[in-house]
Amino acid sequence: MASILEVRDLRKSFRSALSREPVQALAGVTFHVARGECFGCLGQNGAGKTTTLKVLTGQIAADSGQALILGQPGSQPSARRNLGYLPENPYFHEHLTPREGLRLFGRLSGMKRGDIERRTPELLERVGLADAADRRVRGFSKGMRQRYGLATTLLAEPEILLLDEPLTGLDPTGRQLVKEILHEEHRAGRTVVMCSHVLSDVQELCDRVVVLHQGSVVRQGAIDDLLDHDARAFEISARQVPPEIATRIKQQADKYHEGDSLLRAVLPGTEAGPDFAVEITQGGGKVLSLVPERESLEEWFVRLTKEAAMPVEAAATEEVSA
Amino acid sequence: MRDCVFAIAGSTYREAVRDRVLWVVFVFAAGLVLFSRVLGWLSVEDDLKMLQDFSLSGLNMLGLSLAMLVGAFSLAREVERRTATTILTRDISRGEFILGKYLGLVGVFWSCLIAGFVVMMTWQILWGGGFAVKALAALLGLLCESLLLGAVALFFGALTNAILAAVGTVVFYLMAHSLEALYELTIYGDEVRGAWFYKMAYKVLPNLEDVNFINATASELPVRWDHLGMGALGVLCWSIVFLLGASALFRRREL
Repeated sequence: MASILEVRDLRKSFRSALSREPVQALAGVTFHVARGECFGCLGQNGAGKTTTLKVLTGQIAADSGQALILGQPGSQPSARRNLGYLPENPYFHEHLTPREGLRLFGRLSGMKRGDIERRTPELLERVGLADAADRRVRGFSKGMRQRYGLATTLLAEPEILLLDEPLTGLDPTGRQLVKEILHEEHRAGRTVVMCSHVLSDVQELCDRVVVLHQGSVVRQGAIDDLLDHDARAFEISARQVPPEIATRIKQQADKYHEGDSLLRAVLPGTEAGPDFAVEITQGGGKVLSLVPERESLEEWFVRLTKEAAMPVEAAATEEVSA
Repeated sequence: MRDCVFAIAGSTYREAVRDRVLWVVFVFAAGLVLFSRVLGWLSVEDDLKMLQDFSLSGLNMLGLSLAMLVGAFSLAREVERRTATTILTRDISRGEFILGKYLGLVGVFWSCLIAGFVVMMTWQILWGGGFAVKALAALLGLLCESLLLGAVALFFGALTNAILAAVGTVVFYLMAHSLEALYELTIYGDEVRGAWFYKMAYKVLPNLEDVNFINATASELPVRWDHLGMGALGVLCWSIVFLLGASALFRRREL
């Protein structure tokens, strides 16, 4: 698939007023996003995710490298015509109502007035702000601002949605709503790029991810390819388990619960779970479910960032001892 | 000019009009206009002349206060509150953003100055004065001055934070109104220290006295409309220079 968004060897340093040494925020970040995919950008705080998005959207200039949107540098306004960007904790003009704000953003995106008037009520309804359409943003909660921000992002029907922590500050209903909208947009063929700390959301929504650590890419690829597919354990649920088998399960299980003739246990390893399932069936019991437990994106991420941090920590320790 | 410029102008205007600061400043200026009648009674001169003189000076202060409190704060606040981020990540250049803000601010300044002028003329007519066409020259001068002050406020807003931008705008106002007096010192005074500097500054820097017709109007001196025209042209040129400067500075600013 053709790249719709491309970041090539991006480098950026910041010099704070207090320290003489520049802080390197990006140390040669390279990745690309294909048209129509849902792409996740992961990393701990300070990994360089937001800085990458800021360069892509022309808010700051890179020291070197390229950040291209449909082949054009993101610093050019015309490149951003096909981009809908939602910053982390979006700030809006407090004196405007969502209806007025959407009119402003529609005009900034070059939309015709008729299209803006048609899209505005649709979108406000979609993000659950139809009742607040004529209330000033000043009184909005964090979640309402986030949903309003999403509406401004979707207004001009851009090809690419660039979202920095889109689910932050939302209550469970709001999170579900926003996830549904992102699913719909992705299904409609839009390219979605999101940065998030909530890795379960990324795993649920994204096809591919890039992981940044201290300004560098440590891993990228399809989530399915990156995660370990071997089951680490099995969760078994069964009824009428013979007592002798139940005792052995209890001895081996990481987690065990028995009540109302229902046994539930998590058995480590790849063999114990299926073996006990066979035994229970042969002993006259009934296996209700046997679910493999695989590594989640969150567990993988924690493992990866620990590995990535190790050489740095080792070097620091050496430095201290020297 | 693209529609996005007018969209920013409209938003800037609406933001200013919905801000309480604007109304406080305007009510204060209108209060000065109404109070001028009291000064007229206390004055030994023609009381209506006093009314006009004080009211026009009040409108001048209104222009400065607006540039300082609305203009200088406008851009700096957009950056500090990060609302600029949500706008500048659209299909709009920073130059267009500055221009849109400028047009919106000029709209606010002109609306307030014209409204203040209407209050002043109504007040004057109520106290038996007539409508002097000459007063229009003073108003046009004030409108021209606000053109430049708006550009200067944006220039400082692009350069630094809101407070310093407001201070910079006041310093500019004082300097641009003092140049002529300092220059005259070098002509009429004996061996004024730094005379060469005042002369050069008078020739090089923007001079707001070129569009100040308050004294001429109040003192019933003849108004040279060609002077007003030349002054307006000068102010316009300087406004463009400051806007280009603001745009260049803002382009380099990291959000």
